Amino acid sequence: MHAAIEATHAVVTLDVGLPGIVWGWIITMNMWAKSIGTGVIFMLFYLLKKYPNEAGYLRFPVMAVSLAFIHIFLLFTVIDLHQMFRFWHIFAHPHLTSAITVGAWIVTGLVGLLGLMTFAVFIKKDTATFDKLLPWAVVVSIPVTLYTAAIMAEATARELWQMPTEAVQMILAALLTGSGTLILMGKKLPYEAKRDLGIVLGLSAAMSFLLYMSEMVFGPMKAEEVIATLQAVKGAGQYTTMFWIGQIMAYIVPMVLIFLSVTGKNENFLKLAAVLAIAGLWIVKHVWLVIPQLLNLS
Amino acid sequence: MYLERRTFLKGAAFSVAGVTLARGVFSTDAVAESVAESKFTNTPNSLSFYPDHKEWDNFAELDGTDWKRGGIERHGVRSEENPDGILVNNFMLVPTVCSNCEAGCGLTAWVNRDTMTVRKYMGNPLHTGSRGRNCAKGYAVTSQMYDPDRIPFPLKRAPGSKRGEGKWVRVTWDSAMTEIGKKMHDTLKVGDDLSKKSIMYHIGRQNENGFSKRVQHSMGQDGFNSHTNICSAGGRQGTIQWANDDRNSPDWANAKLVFLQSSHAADAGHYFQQSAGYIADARKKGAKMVVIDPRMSNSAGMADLWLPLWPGTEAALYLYLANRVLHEKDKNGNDLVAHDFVKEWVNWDRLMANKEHLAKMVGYGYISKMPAGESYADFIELAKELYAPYTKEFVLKECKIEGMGYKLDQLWDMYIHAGSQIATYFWRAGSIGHRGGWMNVRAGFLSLVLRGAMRGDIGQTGLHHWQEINLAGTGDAATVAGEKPAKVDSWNELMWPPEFPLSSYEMSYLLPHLLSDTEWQKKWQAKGLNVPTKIPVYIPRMYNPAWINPDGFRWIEVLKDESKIELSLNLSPVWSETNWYCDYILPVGLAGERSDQQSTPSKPEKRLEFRQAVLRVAAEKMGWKAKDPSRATLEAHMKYGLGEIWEETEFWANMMVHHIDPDGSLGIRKFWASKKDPSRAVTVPEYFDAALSSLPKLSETAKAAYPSAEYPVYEYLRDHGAWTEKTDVYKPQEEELGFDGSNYIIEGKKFPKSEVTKDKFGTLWIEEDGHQHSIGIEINGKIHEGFHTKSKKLEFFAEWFAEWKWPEYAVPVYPRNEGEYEKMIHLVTQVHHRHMKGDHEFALNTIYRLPYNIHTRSVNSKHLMEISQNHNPIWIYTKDAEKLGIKRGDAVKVKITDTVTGLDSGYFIAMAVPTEATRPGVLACSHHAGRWKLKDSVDIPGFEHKLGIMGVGAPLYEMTNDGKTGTLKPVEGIHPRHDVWQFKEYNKDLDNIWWDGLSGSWQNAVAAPHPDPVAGNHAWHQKVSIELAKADDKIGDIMVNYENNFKIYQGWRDKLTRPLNSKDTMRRPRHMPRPAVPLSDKAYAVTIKDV
Amino acid sequence: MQLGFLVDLHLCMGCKGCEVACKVENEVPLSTWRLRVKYVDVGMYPETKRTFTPLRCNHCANAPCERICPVSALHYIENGIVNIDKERCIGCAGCIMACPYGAIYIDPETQTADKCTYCAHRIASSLMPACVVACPVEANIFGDLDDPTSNISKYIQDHRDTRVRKPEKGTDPHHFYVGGGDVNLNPLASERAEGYSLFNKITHLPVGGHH
Ligand SMILES: Nc1nc2c(c(=O)[nH]1)N[C@H]1C(S)=C(S)[C@@H](COP(=O)(O)OP(=O)(O)OC[C@H]3O[C@@H](n4cnc5c(=O)[nH]c(N)nc54)[C@H](O)[C@@H]3O)O[C@H]1N2
Ligand SMILES: Nc1nc2c(c(=O)[nH]1)N[C@H]1C(S)=C(S)[C@@H](COP(=O)(O)OP(=O)(O)OC[C@H]3O[C@@H](n4cnc5c(=O)[nH]c(N)nc54)[C@H](O)[C@@H]3O)O[C@H]1N2
Ligand code: SF4
Ligand code: SF4
Ligand code: SF4
Ligand code: SF4
Ligand code: SF4
Ligand SMILES: [Mo]
Repeated sequence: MHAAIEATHAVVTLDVGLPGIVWGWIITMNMWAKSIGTGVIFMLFYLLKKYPNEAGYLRFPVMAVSLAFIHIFLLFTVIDLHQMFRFWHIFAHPHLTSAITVGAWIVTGLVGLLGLMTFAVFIKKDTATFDKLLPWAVVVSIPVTLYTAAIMAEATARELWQMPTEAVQMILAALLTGSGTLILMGKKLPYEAKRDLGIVLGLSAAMSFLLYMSEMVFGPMKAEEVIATLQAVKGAGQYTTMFWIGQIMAYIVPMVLIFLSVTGKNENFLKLAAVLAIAGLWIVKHVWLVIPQLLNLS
Repeated sequence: MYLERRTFLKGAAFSVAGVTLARGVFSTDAVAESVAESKFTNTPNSLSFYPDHKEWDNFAELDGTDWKRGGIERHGVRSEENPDGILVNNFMLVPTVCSNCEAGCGLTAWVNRDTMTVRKYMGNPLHTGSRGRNCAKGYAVTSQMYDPDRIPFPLKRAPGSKRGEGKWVRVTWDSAMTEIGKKMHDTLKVGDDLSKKSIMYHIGRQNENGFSKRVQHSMGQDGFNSHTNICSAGGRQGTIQWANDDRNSPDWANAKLVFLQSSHAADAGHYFQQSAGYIADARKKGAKMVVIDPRMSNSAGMADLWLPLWPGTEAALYLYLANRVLHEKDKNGNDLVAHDFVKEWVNWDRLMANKEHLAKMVGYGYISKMPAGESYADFIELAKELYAPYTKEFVLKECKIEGMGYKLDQLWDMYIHAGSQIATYFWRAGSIGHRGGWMNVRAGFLSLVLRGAMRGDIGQTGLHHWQEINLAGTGDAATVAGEKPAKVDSWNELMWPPEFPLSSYEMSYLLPHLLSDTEWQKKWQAKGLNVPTKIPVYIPRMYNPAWINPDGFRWIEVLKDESKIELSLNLSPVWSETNWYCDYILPVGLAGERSDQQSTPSKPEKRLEFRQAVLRVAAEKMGWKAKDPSRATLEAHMKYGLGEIWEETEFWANMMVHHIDPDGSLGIRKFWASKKDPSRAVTVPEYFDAALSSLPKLSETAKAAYPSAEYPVYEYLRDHGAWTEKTDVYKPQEEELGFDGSNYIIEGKKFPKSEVTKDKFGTLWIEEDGHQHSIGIEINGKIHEGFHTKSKKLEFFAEWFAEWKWPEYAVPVYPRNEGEYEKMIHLVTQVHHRHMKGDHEFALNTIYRLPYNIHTRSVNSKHLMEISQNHNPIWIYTKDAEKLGIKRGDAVKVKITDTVTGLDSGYFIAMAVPTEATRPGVLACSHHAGRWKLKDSVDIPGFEHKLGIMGVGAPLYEMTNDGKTGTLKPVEGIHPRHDVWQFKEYNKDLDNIWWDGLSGSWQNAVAAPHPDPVAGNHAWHQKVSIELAKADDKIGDIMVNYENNFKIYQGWRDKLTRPLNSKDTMRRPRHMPRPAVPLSDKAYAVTIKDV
Repeated sequence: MQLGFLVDLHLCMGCKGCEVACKVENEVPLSTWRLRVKYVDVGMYPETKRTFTPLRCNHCANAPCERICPVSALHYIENGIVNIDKERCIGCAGCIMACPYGAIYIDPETQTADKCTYCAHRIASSLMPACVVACPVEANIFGDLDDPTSNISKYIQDHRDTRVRKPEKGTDPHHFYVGGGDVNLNPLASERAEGYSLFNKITHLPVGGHH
């Protein structure tokens, strides 16, 4: 690993127990659910722009899905707190340099907005107000999606997570799961719309895959922590299998399926791609969340 | 950086403002005000290590745990107006002394005045040796005090149960004392010779200077036994031979070369953290440090030079140094020998005058012919010839460090460069590990003597008696008797068998063997000795013989045998393997719960420290009074929630006065009844005030400081905890002998000049109690105090040693060739490399310490246990492991075989860790793990809680033993604890115990005893062979053939010793005092029948 | 006032006096450490050496832990100490993820974050931190970095080999080492296997304890 070890034969012969994984599957759930919660909004916006009539019926279902997943996300955020009943401190004692705080405030805004929109479309049946609010929801969803990347970036101990890539990853994850979810929800959509969703899914998968592979190849050139972190997914690393299962499920197979479906107009392939991508993303996120935490800091 | 910080503070201020808003303006003001009004501030003008002594009775400190709420900036300081403020603790700092190792570092107990609990122990800055500092074990005293498994009250083996069955009932101190006292009274009443060997007080690492000895002395018993022959007796023997002093005492801080065949710098060592501190001081000034150790200890790991000699061959290296010093010259062509010192202060003159002995030396081949004359120059010529064979090539081969010639060169450079400022402490290591280990001390000192480094001057190596203050046994003036008890008239063969007349200390570790060896008993009885066959009352104290000695199963057998040990009581605050097999466990106090005087010569000064029962002292200072002042400590501990914990001082005084000799008919009571009130026992203040008042400076200072006090010396020590009587104790042997014109004066005693005779070597003698004593030495017309030896010089030539059957070893030597290995077998280690055949045979280094564990004293500290899991793996050199296919974490079977008898002792299963930190061919395994218990807890009838047993450190084991073979198997590891009832708040984190403790094994049980034929110490190292363990072997398993171990003890005894015989009239050289209790001539005299 | 710490690794002998002193002083629960002393063996027989390195919070001037804390439970106090407030903390563990030195843990008793405070309560009581008092060899030097005449400032001035851990992280630590090398200050420059080592069991423990 570290070139000097060969030369120095340095071995740790006494240390104390170290903390295990700090952010585990609960945070994976959080990121995953949030991707879906925001992704569907992005995709709804696109569909309403492009297919205002055919996609209109999705207004309420998407709100419901989005709210549900945002709440799953919030639930997992809160249960991951070791002092969950103190979550309100974020509002009472906000510290604005913290992406966690800023994120929490923005999500709160988003939830409010989504609430209004749901109210508008479901109770008032007022699609005009809904459509006026939707662009704002999209605008707010962007930082909501991104702020986890900011938290990861602020977690400076983990060299693997850098804001630029993580931000893009977050957006791509949202697009991937958003399009996937809508593929699954959009039975009644015209084929073109489904194809568009498929293409978004395929492109997001491709871009994400590209990013991960770039990290694999170029990341290690940046810092020795990255080299050490990536050991976990290279060769016979602890997470190699899981990492590749994730990459294949979330990206490679969906790309192929999308390609086959677009060329062969096969909707079933689209659905399969969507399911695989959504499930695979969880694995991808989990691996990427955990491996930098294997790094020994001291 | 400064500006940058400001900006961040601004950020902080914003968020604080956030709070302000949330909490309202008024409360914020109260917070600020509460701080302003207090002495507390986040920006203090200065930071002290300790509060000023004036404040010790009442010192306010913010609470570290409550601070976790965010500190005074957020909450202010707690007061009536600001109840939400950070808690302030009102402490009384009561000084005491650490008792975890023998360094006796000062402690202060931070007693919370409101709750009367000890929040923490820190150091005592008034202790000039420890300087307010402590090691991990010092800080662990808190967790030991509040150990959840402390024994809360006296326990007695349940009537009808057998020893070791683990059935216990609760008794009161008084009922225990009545029963034990009666047995002791009845035993003593007999009054014959055997009754004087009937009560054995067996003391381990005791940490006090003389009180326990007085217990035995006042009963007229030769029954004070120690642990020293497994500890440091080899090192002491070498020092006794050179200087008739118990041990050396280096001036580390001013040395230029710190020369270690021990671990003082970083691992442990005598006076551990104090030594380490002074060694660090020397190194800051540029001193070099050399460590000789087959294993890379922490000290070796940070030394300038690590010399990994084959264990037990050190003498060869030291004689090589001597050889070069004798033969070579420095850059300016001057001799390297410090002639001024050697000529005046070494007893070469006696050797050169002893033609008979010189002739023997010729006979041994040490020298080729008789010296030409008797002059100093002739002596130097003799020495040159004697040591010429110890060449560099010889060392490389004998010490098995082939290829490390460059290391010897480095050593030489450092050694010569340091001049005479070489400090060392020969203590354990090579000197206790091996047969003949004492010779490596003898040889080691030779190399220092020749360089003048043993003069005891600044930065050199001095002697321990110069500094130690032994007064705890001298409180006679506080008692009705007002004087010392008479000398004891008996000689206890169970401690000093006739095979080991020169043994440095008692043959303590052979006690169970001697008790079981009826053949041996009968043999000596037939020869006329009154050898005891049993011990009516056996009292271990601060001693866990079953675990820490070799051949533990033999101990268990004997401890269980009611015909050999009629009554046994362990004075121990905690559970131990030993007290499992005793009749009573009497819970006495730990470091802050008892009264003792200790003295630790860790630097050239005369100092003592005073250990106290801190809760009692705090309570008394706050006005509390005990109902019975002679039982104040017990009363205080009960009142303040520690439990029925007592202390030895009060216990023994009460035992003697009320139970052992209530009517005074045995003549013992008067030594313990208070002079002030003869109806009761002497109290702690009375006794220690009397004992310590004999120090003139202390007495004067105390009286000035406490003019109206009844016990000024006691009160001074109560408040300060330590006293330094004299600093800069350098080369006292060169002081001129006191002379008032007609009398020589030694320690206040007058010797009329007319009665003093001078021999041809300048030594002055007087006759006292029918013996010739030397009192001084004339050198160049001046009369000096001299060393403690008979000749008053350092004894290169141990003349008495020759008289006591070992003439060939009267001067430092070491076998020079194959033929001499056999002839001088007494000097050759039992694990010499010539015994190792094949890749799987090794020497096992069983002796070393980790800095944060202490023998069997750490297992009651959660803090120490947490950092010491896997503390006795088998260290094996990487390449040796490779050859045997052993990997990290593998279980290996370590089989022990004796090289004298060829017998197997059995095996233990341990975890192997291959490392670059131990030398090829030598394994290492510490004794700091492998504790066991046979039950998790015991039920006490009528008591609501179970008493847990060593619950943070000892796993549960299963044992079998049938008198011949013993086995131990781990059953279950340590668990997180949810069952704590004692000191619950302090132990609430025990549910986080994350270790199972299953990585250790009790290697001592397998080890056979190896009595050194001269020094008597157990030679610890073992020859072993190893292999990978089988699937059903678990780490921690042991199997011992203790029948074989018995034969090994007999083998060493019979093949190697030179026992007393009918020509002998004395048990031991008269000038070699028996440690502890003073014995009369009658006791020393012996007549042995030829049968 | 800017309080700072310095450990002279030439002197430290790995006795762990500081480690246990800290546990006792601050009632740090089992399974967690504000301060730990790490041993690293370096080199091959017979030239092996051992290094000892006490590791604690660095009280960074640019502290990622303080920055990420959503509720200012971690905060600067006026003497430069990065302090922590268990009543404010929500246990999000962001700080643990942010600190590049592994200095923070979740206290299993309170389920909130905790770490070395330079014994701020003792500082406010005009006393040296507990671990400084303990050290038998005076390897721990503590004082005001803003005061050029303080012991610590002079120590830094007098030694050429003063280093901080991971300077590349830009955290600007107020904790210095003299005599440190890569093997002890850079966690990646030595091999560290989980499981049993020469002296202890090195293992990963559940964050926040077994509750
Ligand atoms: N932390 C701690 N400190 C202690 C104690 C404790 O238990 N723990 N115990 C106290 C007591 S009772 C004592 S007696 C002292 C003892 O303290 P020391 O005199 O220092 O003795 P040890 O620690 O037994 O051994 C010192 C070193 O000798 C090495 N050694 C072993 N065999 C040989 C050999 O044959 N040749 C050479 N050259 N070296 C060898 C060991 O590897 C070890 O590193 O420590 C005291 N201080
Ligand atoms: N293999 C191997 N074995 C060794 C050694 C080695 O290096 N290697 N070292 C040997 C040496 S040097 C020594 S000195 C011995 C030490 O062995 P021991 O002299 O037996 O000393 P400890 O094990 O420290 O303590 C013994 C018992 O004292 C009790 N105790 C603890 N604290 C107190 C207290 O405050 N008051 C009272 N009254 N009792 C207390 C406890 O029951 C404890 O189990 O071990 C020896 N054993
Ligand atoms: S060196 Fe020994 S006496 Fe001193 S603090 Fe450590 S354990 Fe206690
Ligand atoms: S070392 Fe870690 S915990 Fe301490 S201030 Fe720096 S970032 Fe924060
Ligand atoms: S765990 Fe507590 S201290 Fe750490 S960042 Fe979260 S709220 Fe702040
Ligand atoms: S300064 Fe205090 S809190 Fe920090 S490591 Fe030292 S003792 Fe622990
Ligand atoms: S107390 Fe001092 S010598 Fe001991 S480990 Fe800590 S810093 Fe090192
Ligand atoms: Mo010892």
